[in-house]
Amino acid sequence: MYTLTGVTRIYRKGRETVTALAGVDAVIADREWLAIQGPTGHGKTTLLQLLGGLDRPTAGTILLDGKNLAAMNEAELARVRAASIGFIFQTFNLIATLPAAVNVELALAPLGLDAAERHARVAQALDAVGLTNRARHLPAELSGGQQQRVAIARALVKEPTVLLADEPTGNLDETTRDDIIGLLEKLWRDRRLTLVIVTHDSTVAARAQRTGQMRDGRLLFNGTAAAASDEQP
Amino acid sequence: MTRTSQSEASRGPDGSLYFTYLRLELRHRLRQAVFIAAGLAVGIALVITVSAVAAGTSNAQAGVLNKLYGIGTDITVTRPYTPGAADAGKEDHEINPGMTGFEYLDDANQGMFGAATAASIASLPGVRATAGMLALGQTTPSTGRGNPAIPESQAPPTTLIDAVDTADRQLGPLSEVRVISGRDLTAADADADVALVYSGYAKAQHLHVGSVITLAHHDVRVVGIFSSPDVQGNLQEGGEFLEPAGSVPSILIPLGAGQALASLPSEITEVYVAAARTADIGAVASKIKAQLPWADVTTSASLATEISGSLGTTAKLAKNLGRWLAIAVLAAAFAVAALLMVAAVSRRVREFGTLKALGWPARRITAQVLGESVTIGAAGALAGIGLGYAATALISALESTLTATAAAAPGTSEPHGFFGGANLRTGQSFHQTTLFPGTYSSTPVHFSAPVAPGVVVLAAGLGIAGGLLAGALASWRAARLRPTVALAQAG
Repeated sequence: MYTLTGVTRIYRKGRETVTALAGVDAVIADREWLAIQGPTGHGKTTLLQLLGGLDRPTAGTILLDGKNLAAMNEAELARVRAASIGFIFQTFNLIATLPAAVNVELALAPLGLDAAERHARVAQALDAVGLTNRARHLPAELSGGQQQRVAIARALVKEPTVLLADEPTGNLDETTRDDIIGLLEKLWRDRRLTLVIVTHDSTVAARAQRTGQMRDGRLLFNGTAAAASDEQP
Repeated sequence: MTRTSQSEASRGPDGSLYFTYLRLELRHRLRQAVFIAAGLAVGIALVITVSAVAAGTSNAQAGVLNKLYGIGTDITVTRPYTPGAADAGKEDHEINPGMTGFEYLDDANQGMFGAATAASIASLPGVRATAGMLALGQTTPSTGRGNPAIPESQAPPTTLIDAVDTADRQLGPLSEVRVISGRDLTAADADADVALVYSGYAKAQHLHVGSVITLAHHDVRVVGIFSSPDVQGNLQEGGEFLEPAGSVPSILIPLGAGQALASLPSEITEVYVAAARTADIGAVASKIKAQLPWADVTTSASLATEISGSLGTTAKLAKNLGRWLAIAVLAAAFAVAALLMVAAVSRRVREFGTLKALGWPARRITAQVLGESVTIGAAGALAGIGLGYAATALISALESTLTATAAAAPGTSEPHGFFGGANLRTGQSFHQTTLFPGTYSSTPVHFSAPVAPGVVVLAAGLGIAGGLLAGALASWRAARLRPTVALAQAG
C-alpha cells in the first residue's frame, strides 16, 4: 500500500524552478488498479517515477508498505525497485541488442537467483504474455504489441507487488491496445498486483477501479484533492 | 537485423547473463569495437616494435662493445699521441736497424707509457685487476708468403700483434678469444717466445700448432689457435687474409716476450682495468684520470656514446623518435578509445536508465560497461602483440646489417678504445683501410629485434589499461545517470 503525504517535487531549469508536484496526498491500496489522467506537463509521469523510487520528492513522504521511499538512498531504492516494483514504458524500452528472453532475464539480474531459476521464471513470464515462441527474437523482429508484451513479461518476471505503467498503450493501435489492456487486467487479477497506469486514453482509464486526475501538480479524485486517509477505495 | 541463434539466446550457469549481455552488445557494435581495438593494437604494436628495436640496438651495441673493448674489461687507459710528447722521439725509430719485417714506428695514433702505470692503477681503490698490453705490428713484404695477390704497388699488409699480460686470462685481449686447438697462454709464458694465432690468419698462412713464425727475426712457436666469437672469418677470395675486425689481433704473444722483441722493455700502450664493482666504474675512471691527467680513460659507457653509423642512428631513432612516437600513438589510441566509449555510452543512456528502473545498482552497470571496454582492450592487446611480433619478425627476417662506427677520441687519430699503439714500417695507418677508413672504424653488425617476454606482458597490460581507461569515464557517466533523466532521453 502506498501512502503519499504532501509529496512535492520541484525541478530547477536554469534560473527557473518548475513545480511538478505540489503537495500530493493519496492512498493507493494493495491490489488496487488506479489510472491517472491529465494534460501533458501536469505531473503524471513525475508522480509515477516517485511511486517507483526512480526519483525522490523535494518534500513529503511516500510510504510503500510502511517504508518511506523519500528517505532512502539510491542503493536502497534500487533494491526496492529490483524486488517489488515493475515498470512498463510507453516506448517499451527493450534493449535492441538482446533477444526477448535475455531482455526479460535482465530484470532478475539484481536478485541473485541461480541460472536455472532465472530461466524457469523467464519461460513462465513469456508464457504468461503468450510469447514463448518469440523468446529468441530481437526486439526489432517483433511487432509493437509483441514488444510491449515482452516489456510486461520483464516487469512481472520478478513477481513484484506493484506494477507501474506509463502510457503502456500510447504507441499501439486500438486492437493491440485492447489486447494489452486485457492482458494487464488479467495479470492484475491473477497476480493480485497493485497497478497504477498513467494514460491519456479514457478507454484504458475506464477499465481501472479508480481514476485520478493530475492538475497543476495535484492529484484530484472526483474533482477534489482528498486527504490521504480518505482515498482508500 | 538477423534472428538470433539458439546458442546466442542460450545462457549457461549463473553469471553467464553478464557475458551474454557483453557478447551481444559487442557484436552489435562490432565495427566500433574493432575500430577501438585496432587503434589500441597499433599503439601496442608500436610499443613492442620500438622496444624490440631498442633491445636489438642494445644487443648490437653490446656486441660491438665486446668486439671493440673486450669482455671483462671495465676501463681502458691509453695515451693519445701528441707530437713532442715523451714518446714522440720514438717516431720512425727503427728497432733492430737493418732488419726487415718487424720494426717499430709510432704511427701517430697512440702513445706509449711506462708499464709501471698498470701497477699504479691497480693500487687505486675500487680496482680489482689491471693488465698491460703492448700493441705491435709487423709488415709483411709484398712478395712474402700468404699474400701473393697483393701488387707491389700497394702498401704491404700489417700483421697485428698484441703482447698481452698472461697473468689474468679474464682481462684484456685474452678475454675475447677462445683457444680452439693447442693450449692457452699462461702466466708461465710471460717471457717465452710462444704465440697464439687467430684461426683465419693461421689458415691463410698455413700455420698450425707447433709451427714456427718469425717475428723480428726471432722464432716464435705457435702453441695455440684461437677464434673469437664476435669476429667473422676474414678470408677473402684468392686467399688474402684481412685482419679481423675489432680489437682481435692476428697474433697474441706474452707481454714480456713482445717487449723484448720490440726492444721496449718497460713500455705498454694500453692498460685494461677491471673494477671491483660495476657501480664503481665511473668513480674508478675519475680516479685514474686524476692520477694520470695525460691519459685517455674510456669506459664501456663512454665508448657506447661514441658509436655512430647506422647502428648509432638506429639506436637514436629507437630511443628518441620511436619511443615518443609509440607514446604518442598509444596516448592517441587511449584518447580515441575513451571518446568512442563515452560516445557509445551517451547513445545508450536510455538503456542504462531502463536497467536502473529494473533495479540494477550503479556498480553493476559500471561493471557491464567496464567489461565491454576491457574486452575491447584485451582484443586490442592480442592484436597488438600479434602485429608487434609480425613487425619484429619482419625486421629480423630482413637480416639487416648495420654498421657501427666509433669516432676517434679527442687528441688522437685513432678510434677510441681500438688497437693500441699500432706500428707500421711505412707509417701508414695501422688498420686495414678497407675496413677502417680514415680516422673512424666501422664494423658490420647483424641486427635483429628480439621481443622480450616482459614487453609482451607490458603490452597486454597496456591494452587492458587502455580498455579500463576508456571504460572508466564511460562507466562513470553511465553510473551517475539519474534514472528519470536517462529514461527521458530519446531512444
